[in-house]
Amino acid sequence: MNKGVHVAAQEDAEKAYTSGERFFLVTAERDVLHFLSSKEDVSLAAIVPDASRYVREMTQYGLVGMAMRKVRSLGIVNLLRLLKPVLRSGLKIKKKDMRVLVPLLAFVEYLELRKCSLEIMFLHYHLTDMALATGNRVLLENYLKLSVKNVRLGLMTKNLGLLDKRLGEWGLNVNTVLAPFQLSGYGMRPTQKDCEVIIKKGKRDYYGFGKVVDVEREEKYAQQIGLKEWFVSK
Amino acid sequence: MVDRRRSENMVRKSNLILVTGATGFIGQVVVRTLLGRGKKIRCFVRDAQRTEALFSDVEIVTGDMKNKASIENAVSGVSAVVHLAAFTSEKESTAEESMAVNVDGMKLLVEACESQAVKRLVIVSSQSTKRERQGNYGLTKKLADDVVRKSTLDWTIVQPTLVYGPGQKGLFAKLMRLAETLPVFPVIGSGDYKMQPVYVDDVADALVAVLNNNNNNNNTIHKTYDLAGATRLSFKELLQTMLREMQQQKKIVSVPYWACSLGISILSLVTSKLPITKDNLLGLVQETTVDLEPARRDFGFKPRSFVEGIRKTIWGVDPDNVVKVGIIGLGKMGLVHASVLSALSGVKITALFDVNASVRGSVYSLGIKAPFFTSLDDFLGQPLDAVIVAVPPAFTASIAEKCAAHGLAMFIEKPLANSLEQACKIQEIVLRHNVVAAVGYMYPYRSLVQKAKEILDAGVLGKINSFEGSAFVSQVMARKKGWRYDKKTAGGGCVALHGSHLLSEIYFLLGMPLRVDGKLYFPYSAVEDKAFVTLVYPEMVRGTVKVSWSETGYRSLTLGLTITGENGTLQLDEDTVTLDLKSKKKGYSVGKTTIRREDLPTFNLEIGGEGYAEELNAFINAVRQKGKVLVGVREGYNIQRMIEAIYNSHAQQREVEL
Repeated sequence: MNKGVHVAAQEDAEKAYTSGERFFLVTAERDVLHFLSSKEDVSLAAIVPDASRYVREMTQYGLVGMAMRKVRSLGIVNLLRLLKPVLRSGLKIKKKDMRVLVPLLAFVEYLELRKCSLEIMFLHYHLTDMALATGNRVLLENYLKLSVKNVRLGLMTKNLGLLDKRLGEWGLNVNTVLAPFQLSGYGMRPTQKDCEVIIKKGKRDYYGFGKVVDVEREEKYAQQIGLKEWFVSK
Repeated sequence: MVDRRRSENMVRKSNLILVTGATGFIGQVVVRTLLGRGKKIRCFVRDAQRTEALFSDVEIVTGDMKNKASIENAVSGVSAVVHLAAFTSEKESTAEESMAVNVDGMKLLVEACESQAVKRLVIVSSQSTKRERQGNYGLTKKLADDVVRKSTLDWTIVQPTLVYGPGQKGLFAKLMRLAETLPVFPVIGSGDYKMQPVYVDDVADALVAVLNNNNNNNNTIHKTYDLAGATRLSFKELLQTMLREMQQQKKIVSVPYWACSLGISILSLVTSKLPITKDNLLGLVQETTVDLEPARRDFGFKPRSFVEGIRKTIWGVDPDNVVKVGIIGLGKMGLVHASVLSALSGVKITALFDVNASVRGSVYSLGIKAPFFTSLDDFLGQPLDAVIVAVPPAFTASIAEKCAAHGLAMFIEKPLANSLEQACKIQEIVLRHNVVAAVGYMYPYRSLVQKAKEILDAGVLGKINSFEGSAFVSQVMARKKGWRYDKKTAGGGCVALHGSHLLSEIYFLLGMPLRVDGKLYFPYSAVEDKAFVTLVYPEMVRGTVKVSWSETGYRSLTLGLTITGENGTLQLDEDTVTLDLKSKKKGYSVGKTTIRREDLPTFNLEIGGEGYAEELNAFINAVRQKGKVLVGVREGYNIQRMIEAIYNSHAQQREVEL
């Protein structure tokens, strides 16, 4: 089992890099990405799209306005790359179909993240969990079908039990999952025991994240239950 | 052909049951039912990954019904076979494929069983084998039945009628999808032909009983059984019942049989994914006679009624125990609440309301599906027990009046209203109609806040002297547009929107202040962007509160509260409660003790952020038991008094009494 670090701010990323961390879990935050893209020995797992920022921007500019701002911030090359998926789902974008818009926003962030050494892209837990709750199989399916080169697509959830149940019901094949894992059981839903059973079955590669005090003990626990990788939140 | 998960230690032959077609509509339920009865299952499937995703603890053998070697491999070492795999497409060009899978495949399966001494074979056939006019499916299933009957095996054939149940697959799921999307519902011909659909769990139970073969000491070997539901009804009655239970008011229109048949024939030339197949069509217009007596006698078959089954299909649970909730206002918070409710058991969203009809499509695309209304009166005409009111605060009172008049419980998103006068009106409405009402302040439901309350109530800090609080978020860094920045609609700026969360926390922990002094700042907006507030409590306890939505470095709302008492301080933030005590008290030691969020119990669901699922779960429980909630309308009203006092204090430039 390897260990990575989950950072939200550039300052945290810098500190973690200085202390020897080389595997980062990030959102597509401009400053963080700018710093990490300058480091050749760093690899990334990203949480996309940056849901809380979109919610804030959506509140202010509306859905289409927010999307247009995002598109404008891309360079011409990335805009051309975006053209194909946009044309393919043109009418659905106009109709504000979230099953198309969410994967599209994730793809936009992928274009931004390409400059870094991106290994995995996890769909943000706000969106994954909302889709799981409302039975929105198509949204997750569309996300998992994104055309990304050399990047694994996974789901981030705060409800691992619900995810396991729904994916089972839907027959949806997801190989990479990120969820909270802590020795104390915090965030392991519905129960710590249920989550342990799920990962021990080994159907998928499970990645964990969480704030911890005693890294050594947590690492031992993560190893014991069979986590693939574990991100310590800063 | 890949053999996967085959245990090194061969499972004892007498325990292992092979299920073909395990990922199909009936197959999935059969496998789960068998697993639930402690049976060991081997699934014979084409897609191993899909099967792995569907079930745990099953053995998987991949292959298909046209491949002799894969069938032989699947049959090896099993004690019985339940055969469900079939080719159902009705495209003319696929007639050969139907024959290859359904008939030749059956021959291969029978041969494999005979050669490997697997005696027991239970096959799921169809009532379509009994019809005069048959499509590919009916015809090939009839031939397959004949193959089985001529074999030397201990066979049993079950022939269900139209099988329905929850899930995305099957004719019934298609009918339900059509009912949701079409403006009118087409019925083929007069719709008077009778049918007797059977619930999928009843079919699965029957198969298990047949396999057990010991119910009532009757032998099911070498017998063919009809399986049907307990209710015989016309297709039109079936649709009417389905639409009624789905709460869809759709007109049923007749479409001539020839037009349907022609349409299906034409469409089947271009696609195999038809909403209804030719065999379905033939099945819908040709009545077959079913005799359930042999199944009742031999293995105690007791199917449920159609109403019972359709309710379970639509609601997932007994509808009498379902709390039916409507969502008023489909903005950000309306959608978060709708998502949480979708995941709570025993809750069904039965109606949606928003004045803006254009949000309907994107709301549906999020998976939140219920009849959508732009008229509140039409919305309130739906079957409802409770509503979520997530509209700009200016509209809450008038909506609450109407909802309460319908006797509906209400969860009102915070702040309660845009003014104290309106909040007072809402409180009066709730009391007059005696309805359950909750207000969406979720912080008191958070485990850390509850821990802080427990510590304070235990008197660990001794007499409280003062406190300091802050609520910061980076939201407004320039002039912004929208109703949130209009005092009349939103009721205020950062104090009403975010500061009210901190005020709810202070109210929950320390109670109501006596006096308030507020200073507001407006660098960007017409409403306040920053506020500095002093709260005065009895015995000269004073607290200061800073609120700002224009602070840099706060991606999300961040609350902090430090309470100082005679015996030390309690510091509450988003992640921890930290105690710093002068003397040991109630088990808490001298010096610093940090209680992390991670050390406290976690609620079994989190959607949209911590506290949302907890507050809605508490609300739903209160609706069920006609009970109380932690943050009701009284608490919401008192928090509104604090908000209003801050604004009044600023306007009057003096401390105001509460």
